[in-house]
Amino acid sequence: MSNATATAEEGATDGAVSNYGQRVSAAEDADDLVVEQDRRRTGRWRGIVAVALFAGAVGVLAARPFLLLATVPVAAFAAYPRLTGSPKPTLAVERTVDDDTPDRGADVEVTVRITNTGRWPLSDVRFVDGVPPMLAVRDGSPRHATFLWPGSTTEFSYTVGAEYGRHQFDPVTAMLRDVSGGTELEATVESDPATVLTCTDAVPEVPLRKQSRHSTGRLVTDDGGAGIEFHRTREYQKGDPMSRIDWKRYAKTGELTTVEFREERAATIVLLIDARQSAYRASAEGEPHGMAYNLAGAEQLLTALGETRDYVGLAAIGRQFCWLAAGVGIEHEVTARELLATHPVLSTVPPDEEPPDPDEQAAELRKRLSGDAQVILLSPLGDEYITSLALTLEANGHPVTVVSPNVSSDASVGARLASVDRENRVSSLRQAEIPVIDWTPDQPLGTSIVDVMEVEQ
Amino acid sequence: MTNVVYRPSRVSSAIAVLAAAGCVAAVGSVPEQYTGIAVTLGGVLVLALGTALYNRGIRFLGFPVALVGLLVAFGGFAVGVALVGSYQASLTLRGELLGLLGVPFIALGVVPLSRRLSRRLVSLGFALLVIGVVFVGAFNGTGTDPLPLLVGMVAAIVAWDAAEQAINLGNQLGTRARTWPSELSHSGGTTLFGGVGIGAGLVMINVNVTDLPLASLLLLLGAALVLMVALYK
Repeated sequence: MSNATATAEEGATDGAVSNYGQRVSAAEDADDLVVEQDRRRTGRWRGIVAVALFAGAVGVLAARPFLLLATVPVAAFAAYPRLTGSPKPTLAVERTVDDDTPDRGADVEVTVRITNTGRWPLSDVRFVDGVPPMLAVRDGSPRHATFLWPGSTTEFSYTVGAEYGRHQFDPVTAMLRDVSGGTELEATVESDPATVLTCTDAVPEVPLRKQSRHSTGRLVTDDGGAGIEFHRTREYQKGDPMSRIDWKRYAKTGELTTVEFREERAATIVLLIDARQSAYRASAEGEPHGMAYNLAGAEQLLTALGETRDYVGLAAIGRQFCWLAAGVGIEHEVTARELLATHPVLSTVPPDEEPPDPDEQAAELRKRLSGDAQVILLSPLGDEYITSLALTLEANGHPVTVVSPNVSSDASVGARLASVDRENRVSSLRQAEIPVIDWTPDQPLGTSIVDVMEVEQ
Repeated sequence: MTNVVYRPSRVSSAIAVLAAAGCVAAVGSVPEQYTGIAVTLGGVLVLALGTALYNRGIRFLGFPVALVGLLVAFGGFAVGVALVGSYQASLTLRGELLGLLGVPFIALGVVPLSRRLSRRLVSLGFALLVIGVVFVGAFNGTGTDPLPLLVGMVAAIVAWDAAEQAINLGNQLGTRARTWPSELSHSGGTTLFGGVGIGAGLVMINVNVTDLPLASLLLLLGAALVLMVALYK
């Protein structure tokens, strides 16, 4: 049971001033969680002046005082939005899920309770709950509009279908209008701690390329040394450990030989997430976009890698460059997860404009990648740039594996063309001997990986 | 993610159509006109039924039903016009029904005929309602009771406001969300404020502004104009 409560108080801010994305905190409440995004006039009553003038003019021209009189209420409506003031919300959000570690495909009921903790009634509040992009709403609606007396609570619930991965709910978006609808305030209300749905994922093994650095791990190499699997025997050299001497052979032949095993080493893996605009394409409206799958894939790979001794790092190119140096251990994994869930580059909301220059970010990435680091690139392969980046990294000596969620569709001619383009990119990468895991999102990532690995063997 | 159906919300749409019919009824004066209004409302009901069927996927049935509903809704005006023909001042009585043409347009706006056009259709319907009320005011100005005009004007505004609310709620939240409390509170607020406006109008009659000469009325209009410009500065 995940239970999150957020108390929020919007402090003394000037009515019309928009505090874009700024945390508005009140003196008495230190952990304020309403973030005002935008306050604007809707201007919906603007046209009413024309009506008043028209009726008034006809009244005067036809010399009908009653008609002129009838413009009184109309003119009053012109002033209506000025009289109602703008909403000053104080809201508390509580979100509960009936099972926060569901099985894949299970229905999870999400209940959101929102309380008006302020002093004024809110005549028109609209809520859109921040459903994680990968989760499909199966029943009910995460959207709700109501009237809230001070102190009263509204409750709505809906059902989502669980998908693999760790899904963090986004803050509730609240749109508040005054009773005339003349002013609209958009704000986000967080629940603290954030609600998280974790669905145990099923990536059995992360596909790694055969190259690594010299510390013990699970990557079985072709180099002889300490390990489990027999590699070869060779002539004894001074300094070889006694335990590795083949004593049976010594007893038989009198020659000293040393047994070598295949060395198992740890790899350094950097999960590189493509978060540029082209990654935000979806197969259809309302379907999760490529970025959502990128994040889900990264999440699953991170979990699988967390069970090994491999060094894992995280990088993303998009709005800006995002980097987490490779590390190992539970603490590092937690940091990586937090970064995945919260970093602005990894937001599930598409960027408004094309990022400044991906080349600079790519250069920064190459600078920071350690000499023997492998790269697992998560990208829907939406454009040519990402292919060339993969080829460049490979050429620079960083073995690249591409995990590509397939978000192409054949709904229209353009979509079919994009789909063919993507096929071409996949095959050009495979020609360069870069393994590509073509992940069709209706099957688990693990299955796609196993398929590709079976083909390779 | 799931597809959200963005359509104007139902409660406000119903309020809009009823208020629009109320606007016409307020300025009407003979029972035959009410027959026309009833026919139009019946047509709108059938139109709503037809579109509901259409949206549920029963297109072959929904489309003709909606079309019949629309024709009947417009036919309400024709029925009203034909029925009042026997009266002496039939032109005035027909003019009083002008607003009835606006009702189906508002209904088309909130059904909606097309998401892009819905606001325009509602505005067109609202304009027809206002023209109807103004026509009555201009031709029937010798009447002694200003209340129908005031109520008609406010009802037209309530209708437009509810239709617009239905559209913007539908755009933001879709049809599956439960929205009726905020719709009722919004339209309730508008109606209440309209009532205050009507009250103010009636008070002004009692202080006898209606006996003022035309020049003073013109001055009043000018003053109102200045006030409105100031409001939007």
